Amino acid sequence: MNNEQVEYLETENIIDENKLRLIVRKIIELENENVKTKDFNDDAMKKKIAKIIEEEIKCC
Amino acid sequence: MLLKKITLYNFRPFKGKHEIVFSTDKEKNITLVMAENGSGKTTLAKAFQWVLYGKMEGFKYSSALNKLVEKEMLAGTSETVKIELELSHNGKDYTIVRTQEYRKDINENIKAENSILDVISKQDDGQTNFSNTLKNSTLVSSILPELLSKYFFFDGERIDTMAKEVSIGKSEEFKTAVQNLLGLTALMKSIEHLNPNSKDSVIGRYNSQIDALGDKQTRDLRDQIYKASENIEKNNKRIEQIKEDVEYYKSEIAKSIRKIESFAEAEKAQKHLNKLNAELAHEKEYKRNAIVNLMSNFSKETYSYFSRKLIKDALEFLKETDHIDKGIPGVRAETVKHLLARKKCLCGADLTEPTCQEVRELIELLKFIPPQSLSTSIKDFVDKSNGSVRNSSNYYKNMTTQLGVIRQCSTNIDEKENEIGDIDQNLLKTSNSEITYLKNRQIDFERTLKARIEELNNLKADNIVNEREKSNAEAEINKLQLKIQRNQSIEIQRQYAKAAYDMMKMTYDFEENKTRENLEAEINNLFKQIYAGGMRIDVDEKYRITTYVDELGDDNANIDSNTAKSFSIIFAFIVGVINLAKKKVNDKNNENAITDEYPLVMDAPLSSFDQRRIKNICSTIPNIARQVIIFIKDTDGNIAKEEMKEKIGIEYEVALKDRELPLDSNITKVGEYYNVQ
Repeated sequence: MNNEQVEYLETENIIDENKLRLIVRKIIELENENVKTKDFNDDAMKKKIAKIIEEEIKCC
Repeated sequence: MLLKKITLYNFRPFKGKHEIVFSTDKEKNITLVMAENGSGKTTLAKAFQWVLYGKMEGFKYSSALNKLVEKEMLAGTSETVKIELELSHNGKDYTIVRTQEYRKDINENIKAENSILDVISKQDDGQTNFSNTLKNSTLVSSILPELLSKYFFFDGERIDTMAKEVSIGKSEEFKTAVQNLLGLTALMKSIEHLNPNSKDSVIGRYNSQIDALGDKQTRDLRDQIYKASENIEKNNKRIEQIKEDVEYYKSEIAKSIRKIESFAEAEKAQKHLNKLNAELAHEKEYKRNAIVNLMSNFSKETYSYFSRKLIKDALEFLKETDHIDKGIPGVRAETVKHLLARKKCLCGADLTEPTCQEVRELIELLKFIPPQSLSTSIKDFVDKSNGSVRNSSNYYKNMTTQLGVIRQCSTNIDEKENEIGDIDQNLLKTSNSEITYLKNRQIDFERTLKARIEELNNLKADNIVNEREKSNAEAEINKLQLKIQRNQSIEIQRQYAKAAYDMMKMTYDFEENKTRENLEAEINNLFKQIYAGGMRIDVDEKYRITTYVDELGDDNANIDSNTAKSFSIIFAFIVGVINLAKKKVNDKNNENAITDEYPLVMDAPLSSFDQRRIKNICSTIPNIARQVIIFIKDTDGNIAKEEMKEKIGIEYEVALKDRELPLDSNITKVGEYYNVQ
């Protein structure tokens, strides 16, 4: 197995299940709120979702 | 959503200002509005549709303006119809106002302007906010979608129409509305925003970022992946279409073959018919010959047969006498006459003397020699008689045999003629000219089917190739990307986004199935309570309802046979939806259960039921929605009032001010049985 393959495999195992669940919960809360208020369009929502993911990964 | 108050201004039979405050109490959650006939009960029930959506359906005249007001208008003036509906939704207070101006021209014609919708909401800080006019309809739809509204503003007089709507299912809209109600819209939107197959989704953007940091090779590989994904999606759509076509063509080909076979049967029948005709002709010929033989036999041998006894007796007699064979062979009468004439016998005896012994004997001999030979005649007779007896010995057997043949031929002929008759009848029904048409049609369809199947196989093969290309490109990209350190953090985010997408997709599919099954269970449970009778309801993936009668077993007849059952279907469905929504609100463990409850507004809900079922329904009604508003005829209302008295929060009466004038009604509060907040 060469270095490239090792690197690839290591990245494969990066998901922390608890963190993932938290991310999903936050995304759904965001979407629910927007369903009611319709404050943000699709583009804005995608940015917000990306922000949630980025922040949760950085955190802890 | 909770309705708080409705205020009407000059709306149809309600001249001036009228208002109804709705009970929002949790225990006494029913608002009962009893109305005498013609006073505007249905108008009140439909007022919600007008204020929310500007719709005025099911009335003889479509004008919203009170007729008395209209009559009293001067030319060149205008009057306004207005309804204000105060409600709360998802914790926010709204006042929805619809206004419509009517103008009377100089010719006394009334013209309606377009109605205007305003939505006023109260901010958390108490400030009033007027929403953007352009957004008002959208805002109202988000509170209660119009299609769904028919099930919450329940018109009992439109049962059949509603039953058909539910059964044919304006399904996509209804499904969306139900999803909104049950809180699945947010999940759907999340999935859409994360979709890895879209360039512009969250994951798509991660891909673009990574590609931007990477080299051209990475970008090309990414394009390959998107292109492959698009091709796969396009192919899948076409595959679905082809599958439908294939089913259609197979079915048509089978039909054509069956039809042709029925004609092939006719062709076979024709050949058989020809054969039968030939056999018939043969039988007739055979019979004819048999008759000829019989007649011939009859004419030849009958005399002998019936004379047998006599002949036998004669032969017996002749045997006993000595008359046979007295002649001299070869000696004829001419010979004797010649000898007598020459007066000298062959032996030389003198025959001159006619009385001599020799002459007497010669004369006696004449009796026994031809042509006048008696013995020869007798001998001939005996010979012939013996022959006749011999020949006629088989007469009876022959006659019997020939008669049997004739009889059998007759039977055969009858049978064949009957069979021929039947075949002829059947052949009359077919037309050989159709066979050619059907055969050509079959060939065309088979050709098309073959082409479709070939296309299907090609598309499937193409999908395999695309999947492989996609998979290879993804693997290549992963290898390339990980070489660049900067990509790693974006890659991690992308991985989480993909994992989130997968989790949500799985959850959504699971939740939707579960929700639908729960809805079906709710409906069936309620259906039994309202209309017990061995019936059940199925809710399919498009939220259409099919009703089955259990006693018919596997015979799934779609029942909408009577008004009460149709009503029960709609009622149970609405109640099921509301019940389910209520359960989800109360289920704190459900992280998706951030949704609102809805009221149930019913117009004449009990008019189709007998008293027993009214009691059943009345016991169910208060528990099915957070808030129930009932507009009811006074005749049914008294029963409802009695059955639901513990649950009635506010009661109103609607009556005509003047029974002779059905244009001016009054709404009067009869009682208030809880503390109004």
